[in-house]
Amino acid sequence: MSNKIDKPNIVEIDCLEAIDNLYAYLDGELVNEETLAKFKQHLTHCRSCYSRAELEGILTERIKESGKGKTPESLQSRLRHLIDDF
Amino acid sequence: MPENNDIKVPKDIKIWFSHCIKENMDSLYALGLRLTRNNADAEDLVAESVTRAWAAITTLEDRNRFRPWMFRILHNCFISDYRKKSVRPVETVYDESSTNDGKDEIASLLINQPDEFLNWWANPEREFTNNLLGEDIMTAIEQLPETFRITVLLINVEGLSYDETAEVLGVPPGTVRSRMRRGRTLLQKALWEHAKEAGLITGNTMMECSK
Repeated sequence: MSNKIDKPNIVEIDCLEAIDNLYAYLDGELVNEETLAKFKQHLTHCRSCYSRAELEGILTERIKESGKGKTPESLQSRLRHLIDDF
Repeated sequence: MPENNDIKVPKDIKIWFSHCIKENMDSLYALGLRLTRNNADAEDLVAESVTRAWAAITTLEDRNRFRPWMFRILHNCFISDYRKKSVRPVETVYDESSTNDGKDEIASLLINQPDEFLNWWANPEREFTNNLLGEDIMTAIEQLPETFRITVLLINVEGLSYDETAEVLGVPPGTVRSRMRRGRTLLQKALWEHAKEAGLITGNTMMECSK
């Protein structure tokens, strides 16, 4: 875990805080500019967190691809008849 | 039947509702399948949810919020009608009282994990995800406790925001964030165990990131 400060205006965060923010970052939910800057700053010099963020980003995409499904014809037909009867 | 104003509005709503269901059918079925882990139950769950949604259509105040509203009905339907049918053992109830401090929560998640996992966790191999099949990932997600499973699915598969997911699950957005963090950490552990069994991890890593 590194404690060095590369930019004087950004306070360093540690690995736990970076991981705390990682999923919100990947999900587009890390909107606080200061928190986002601290998170990105940490990734610039922590190889471990950078690798984790990279892997989690790829995994997020894989989950998205893998989770999609196609409705069976039997259910499509069932829903059509169901809605017709409403 | 002659049209008058009394039936015209419901008919328009019905056409719109039918269109929304058609557009979201694959999502509803996929979510139902991951919740029930059974094709026949997933079909019944979606059909029952659509029936309940139509019965409650007047409660949908903003049509732009159809997806979270519909997912919420499906989730409630699952809890009331299908979860109790599950033959699987009752899942562990997780204490969410400490969700305000993410760092503490992550530390507590990691502290009881084996060193071998922590070594890999701190220095993951990039090839790891490339070697996993989509089926491996979905099997691991299906093994997650339901609370985390639906959170990961709504956000990562369906693309809902944390606010929308909070609306579906009836919890504060902070709880969604916490469940996401815990769910993804548990998923990593499950995938790591699977990859280790399948020989996809070399184990040739060093730990750099301290707890």
